[in-house]
Amino acid sequence: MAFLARRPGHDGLERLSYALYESATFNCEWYIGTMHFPSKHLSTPDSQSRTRREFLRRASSGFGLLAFAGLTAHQSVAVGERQPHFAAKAKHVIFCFMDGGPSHVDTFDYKPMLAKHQGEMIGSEAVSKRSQSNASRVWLGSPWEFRQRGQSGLWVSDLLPRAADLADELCVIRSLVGEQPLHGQQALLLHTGRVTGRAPSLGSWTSYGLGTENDSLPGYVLLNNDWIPNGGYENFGSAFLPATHAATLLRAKGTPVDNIVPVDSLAIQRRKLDLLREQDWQFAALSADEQAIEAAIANYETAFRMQSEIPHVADISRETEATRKLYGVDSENEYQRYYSLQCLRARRLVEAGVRFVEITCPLTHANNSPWDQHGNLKQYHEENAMITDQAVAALIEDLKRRGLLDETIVVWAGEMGRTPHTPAISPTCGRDHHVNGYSIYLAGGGFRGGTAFGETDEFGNSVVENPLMIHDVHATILHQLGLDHETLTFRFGGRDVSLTDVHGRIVREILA
Amino acid sequence: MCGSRLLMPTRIAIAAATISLAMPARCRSDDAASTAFFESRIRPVLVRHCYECHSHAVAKPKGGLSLDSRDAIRAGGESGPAVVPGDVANSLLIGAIRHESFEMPPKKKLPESVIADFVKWIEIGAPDPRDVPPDPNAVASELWEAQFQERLNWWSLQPVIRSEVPAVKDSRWSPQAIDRFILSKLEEHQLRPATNADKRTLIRRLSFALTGLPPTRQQLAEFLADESASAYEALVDRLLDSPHFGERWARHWMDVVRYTDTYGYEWDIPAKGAWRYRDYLIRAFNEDVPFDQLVREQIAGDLLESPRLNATDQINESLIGPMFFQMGENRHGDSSEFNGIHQEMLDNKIDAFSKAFQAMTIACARCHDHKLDAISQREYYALAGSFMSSRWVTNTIDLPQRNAEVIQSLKAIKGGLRIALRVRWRAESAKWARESFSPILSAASRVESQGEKDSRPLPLKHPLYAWSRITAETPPNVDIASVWSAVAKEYADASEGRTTENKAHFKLIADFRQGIPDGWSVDGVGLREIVRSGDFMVALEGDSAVQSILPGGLFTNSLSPRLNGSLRAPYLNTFTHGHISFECCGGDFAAQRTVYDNAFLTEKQVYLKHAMPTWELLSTVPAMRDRRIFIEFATKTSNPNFPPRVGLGGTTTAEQESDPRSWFGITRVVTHDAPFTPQDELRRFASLLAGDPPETLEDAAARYTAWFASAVEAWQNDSASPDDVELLNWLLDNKVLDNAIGQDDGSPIARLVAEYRRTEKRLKTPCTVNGMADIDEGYDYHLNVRGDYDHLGDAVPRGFVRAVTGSQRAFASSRSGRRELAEFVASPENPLTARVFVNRVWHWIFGTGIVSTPSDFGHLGDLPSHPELLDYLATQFVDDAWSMKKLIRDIVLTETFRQAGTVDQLALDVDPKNRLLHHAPLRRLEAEAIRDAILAVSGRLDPQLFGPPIDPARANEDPQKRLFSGPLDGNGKRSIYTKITIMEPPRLLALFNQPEPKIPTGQRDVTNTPAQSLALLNDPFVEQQAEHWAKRLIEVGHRNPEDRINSMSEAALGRSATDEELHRWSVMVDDLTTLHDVAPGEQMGSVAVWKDVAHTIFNLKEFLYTR
Repeated sequence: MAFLARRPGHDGLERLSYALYESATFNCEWYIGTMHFPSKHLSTPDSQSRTRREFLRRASSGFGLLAFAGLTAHQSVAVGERQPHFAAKAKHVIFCFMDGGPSHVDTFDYKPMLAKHQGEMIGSEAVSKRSQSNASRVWLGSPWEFRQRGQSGLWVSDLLPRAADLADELCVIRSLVGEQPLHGQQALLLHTGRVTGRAPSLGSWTSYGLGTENDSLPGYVLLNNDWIPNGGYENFGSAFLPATHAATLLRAKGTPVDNIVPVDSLAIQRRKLDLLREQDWQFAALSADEQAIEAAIANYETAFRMQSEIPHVADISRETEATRKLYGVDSENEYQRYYSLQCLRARRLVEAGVRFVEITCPLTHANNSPWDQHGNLKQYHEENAMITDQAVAALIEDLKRRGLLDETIVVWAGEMGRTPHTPAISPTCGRDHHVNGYSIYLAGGGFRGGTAFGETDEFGNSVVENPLMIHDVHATILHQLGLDHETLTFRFGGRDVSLTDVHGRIVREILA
Repeated sequence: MCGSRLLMPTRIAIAAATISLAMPARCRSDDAASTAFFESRIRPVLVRHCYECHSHAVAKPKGGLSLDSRDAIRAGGESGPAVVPGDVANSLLIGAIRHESFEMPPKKKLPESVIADFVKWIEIGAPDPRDVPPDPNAVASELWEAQFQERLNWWSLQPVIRSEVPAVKDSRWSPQAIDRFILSKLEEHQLRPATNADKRTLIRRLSFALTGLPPTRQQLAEFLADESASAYEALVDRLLDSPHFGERWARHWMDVVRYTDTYGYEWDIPAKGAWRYRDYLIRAFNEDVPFDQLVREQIAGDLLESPRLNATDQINESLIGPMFFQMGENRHGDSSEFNGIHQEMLDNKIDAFSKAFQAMTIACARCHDHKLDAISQREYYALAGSFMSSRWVTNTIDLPQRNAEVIQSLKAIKGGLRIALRVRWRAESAKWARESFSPILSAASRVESQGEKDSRPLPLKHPLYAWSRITAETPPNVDIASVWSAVAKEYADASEGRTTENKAHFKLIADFRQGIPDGWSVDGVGLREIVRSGDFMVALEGDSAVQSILPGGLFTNSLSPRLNGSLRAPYLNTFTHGHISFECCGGDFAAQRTVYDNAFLTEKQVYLKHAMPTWELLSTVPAMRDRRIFIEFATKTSNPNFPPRVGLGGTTTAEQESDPRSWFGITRVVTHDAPFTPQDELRRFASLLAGDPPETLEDAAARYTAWFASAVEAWQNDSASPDDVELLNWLLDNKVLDNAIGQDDGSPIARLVAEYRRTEKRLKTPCTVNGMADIDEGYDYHLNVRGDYDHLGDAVPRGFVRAVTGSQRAFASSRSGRRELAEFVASPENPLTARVFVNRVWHWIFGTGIVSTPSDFGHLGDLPSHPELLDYLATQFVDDAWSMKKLIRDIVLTETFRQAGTVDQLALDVDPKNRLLHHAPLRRLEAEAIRDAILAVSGRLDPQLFGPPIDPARANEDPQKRLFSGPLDGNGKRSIYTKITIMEPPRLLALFNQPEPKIPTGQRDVTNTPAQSLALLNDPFVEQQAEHWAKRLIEVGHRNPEDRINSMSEAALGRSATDEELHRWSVMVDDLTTLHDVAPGEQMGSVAVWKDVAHTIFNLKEFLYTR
């Protein structure tokens, strides 16, 4: 709601919100506590009408403002759906996080000069604080062939053959510049817009900005593969946004979500819930502050529904053989199998109305992160590509086939690129951290396919044209979702805080 | 030093002085009067109301207009001249301040009298002495000074003055002062307090408030039975005396100090000693250590003149305090490679310090002067200098008496062993004299058998080099005397040459046999004494008595490798040469660390891997000269970066991580520019080769024998030189000297060694905690222009914020100044410290503080709801010698606290947020209290205090990030003992808003989400505890379901069930019996049924909330 606060005046809703955020104190309990009440699922008609009465009565007092704001934050209530700031091109985001930093000069940024000058020292003019570099390092050519693909002729290497097949769908950015060539900082920057973190994730902002389409499912789901990326859970946290906007973690193996499998049979759980409701209403009546209790009661009903809804979405058993094959969910490689499963689930989640889905990579070998090939570039980049390429491409294809790609933005990005140089050429050499110009791609959601935007120098070492910051990408993604990155704010610590802070521009050049 | 805090009038005087200093001295005397008019009436207004947008203090003055010099104001901006002397109509400034043309200043118009002054000023020709082109910095500081003086008026910076207890209409409600403050506000709003809560509600509320646990059945019975007027007071005192009080209140403070057990970031390295700091807090609350003392300890506990010693645990409590600084996230890189790393850690310290103790947001002034509060950017860097001047290290908190008895025994046994060895070796060397060939032959044969002879010729440093030369060819072809002479010459030349070279190339900067030079510092139980040359280490396993004889210096393991130590060199930039070399040895993960800019999880860490001291060269990079870099040698337990991240010297196993044994030794340190290390000067051979050369092998052997014997004799006389030691170790290694102990051979040596080994195992691992150490001269940190660490401004003298100290004075100390800082903060004159803490206590007791933003008393924070009460509590707190228990006691004894949770309509309408406290607020239990209450009620709670943290149960372990899984029930220990890892916080606790541990948390969120419901419904811990409770209930046995339900209600809710409830629950019990297919007769013994009942109770809102 807070994003409306900067444009007061059109209607009562906005004025109320404005008043809310003008008040110096903000009681989280009330705000969130009222989000889920009064739910249409409450099965006690008397209590429900009582609550509504109370609500209306309090709407004239300070409580009412808070309650009202809380209500409108939730889509399922009668007050009305959340309105985006302007017409949206897309409704969902699927973020394939290539954790560790895939090499830009081995994927989307073709630099024949590297092979030509392989083994030659890079010299001091090629050294940068945004790159693990020193003058005596040497250029390293790509072990993979590059070719022009599709109608568009986009350069893609053989490392990602399936993505290459879809070149005309991909909008590649080759000129991203980060802040520090370090995983933790860059991962947090990529997710939260701050190298220090402590701010809501892009997924949380999306969920907060758009609200949910399905109130039995979270707005932001993290499809994890048994590995926590650098920066930790903070990458996926809601920080100061209401807790419901934090990512819900769905595991690849075993129980998908913590506590989602009922420990009781349905009948027993229902019996418990019925008794709880009676007891809890009785307790609420004893208290002057009953709304918190009422909200907690409503949460039990939501939780009850989530127990069936989440496993249902996670279950791919009814997908066709063709679909399974497309994604590779029956692959011989276990890592690929689970990664593919998560990609397929991503599509199912988007279909079910989840706003933001993130998929992380598995770690297959002792390393700081999956794509972090300081050594053995060839071996492990190829392994990572093998695990992820097919499923990500399948996801794009599948979304397209179902008419969902237009309304879904697929983002393929690591937190950094890799140095075009290496300390010494050897069969097991690798590439180090590099944020001085690297590549990501977006597909669907109104992004212009078959394009490459921005350019690095002939060695892929620094940006020479159209440098972008991650804030620009964030602003553009939000824009496609119908959200204005400058006005999508939340009052915290006395300030209106946004994802992009004082940065960010909408990169219209890459929009269709 | 704090008594000097200046009050308002003086501050204004300072401001005036500053302004007059800024006056140019060259005004002509004839217009002195008009200049005075400008200075007193015009300039202050311009500075205060206009400069922020219209001066050279800003990069782009608005409208191109600057008002900070005569030329600028007359030239004007985009719209034309602001001032035309003598011409009011054409002076745009006048129209603007009249809000006719422009509206300046925006928002609020200046008073008419001020506008009139401006008119007059222009009329008299706009005299303006500001003829120098303005210097942006000078204008900026003038502007800041004006803003600063205005901001000093902020309520929280005013001196705390004891408030009068207000009069109230209803004097019968309560005689207590606190209540009078509350009641008077309520009466102002025509409100009444609620009635008293009933005893059962009250004891539950109080028990959670003071101990974080539900009342036990016995506590409940005792309180209910006590019908005396003092029953409640007695209950309060019982709970304040409970050891669980400390656990509850320590956890509150842990929120504020961002408590963590790991450092997060990429590898989640354990925060060394964090849990000892947690236990320190628990003890401090239980013992009611005065809060000002705790403040001093946490800021400067390492610098206190008389630290607080803990006789029971034999540790220095005060030294644990500075772990406060070492909480939060720490990164394993350093700023030499990636600038920004230490700056982030530093920022976190400044943020935590200023919020925790002062509720100030000093960290907001990192890039610019604070936008709203009286904190300048320079003051941020004044604190930065203080915190960076100290080294961030691991400290040993053991008192000398800890382990003293064992150490004494070890020394005594070693003394006995020395005597026994002396006897054995004397006999042996006497034997050598009789059979002159034997030692040399036995040594030579060993050399041969070890294949050393294959690498002929033996090196010069080898004791048998001379022997090998004279035996190289078979007699009689050899002229032994001439070979010997040649060898002697060879040695003499080598020795002289090497000595000269060493002298020419190396500067000896430390010889630890002579003591610890200035600038070096040692810490640790293993380094409390300097080891004399000839001291020896007892072999702790195997069939030798002596492991080796030591050449003297610093050896952490001279008694045992279980003892710890760290040696810290001065900063490298104090040395003039390019290289530094250490004669050192070490093993078992003892590390040589190079610490850049206090990044103590350094990447430059190598493990020492040799048994006897050897020269190790360390290059210093000239480009690093401007950084603060020091070398540290540390055993495992003294190394803040152990266990290290994966990939830094190989992985470590859990066993290696927990085994305290680790050791190093250092004898000498040199600096040099030559790219090599000092050479062996071979002096020990001089006595072997002195005099006439031997003619025969027998003679030569006799020389050797005498040489060996003299080393043994020197050792026996306790005068062995390092050269003797070298030879002795060689004799031992080659079994020339008998060092063997047979299996139970009954010899005194064997007996003593056995005793030594037994005793050594009794050594307790030294206690170490991360913290601070002031070793060096203080260092003024350079201002980062606009917060950019690659753009340095001038160095800012170390100091604290003027808004608190009252004057611009920097710290007097030549070191960090933390000791002074501690006094500024712990002073009764400090306007914030007591206010902030009493407010926190109020917040923890009522759920909302008198200031509802407990960590921000600045302009972005809330205003106090009861300012007089806040000041009353603050003065009372100081008068009560900063007693935390007294403060808490006073608050919970009030009628305010004892109100019921009911409310009338009027109160709800007038004060819906209950800021006036017209009823007891409903509160959800904190995460820890929920889990603890479940454990307490189920009967699984282990009431044992203290100890290392316990890993939470995890669905997916991740050994690379040290995310291990612990027992589901955490061994029944309270939640405060659950390990907090930044990478993945304990799931259940985080779900219920245990705060994220990177930054200080003043007030926890209280969210209400479906995920919480799912956890209480389905989490295996909750289910497990329900089962545990059910089994216990069945063991106890009850006559019927009603009895059992009643007893469960008493245990969980502190009350018996009503008839209606008994009915409701009994019906459910019957339904469950059917659903579980349990025969009616088996009902009372069915774990399945009663587990479900218990589980339902854990889900009751009444269980999860207090009212």
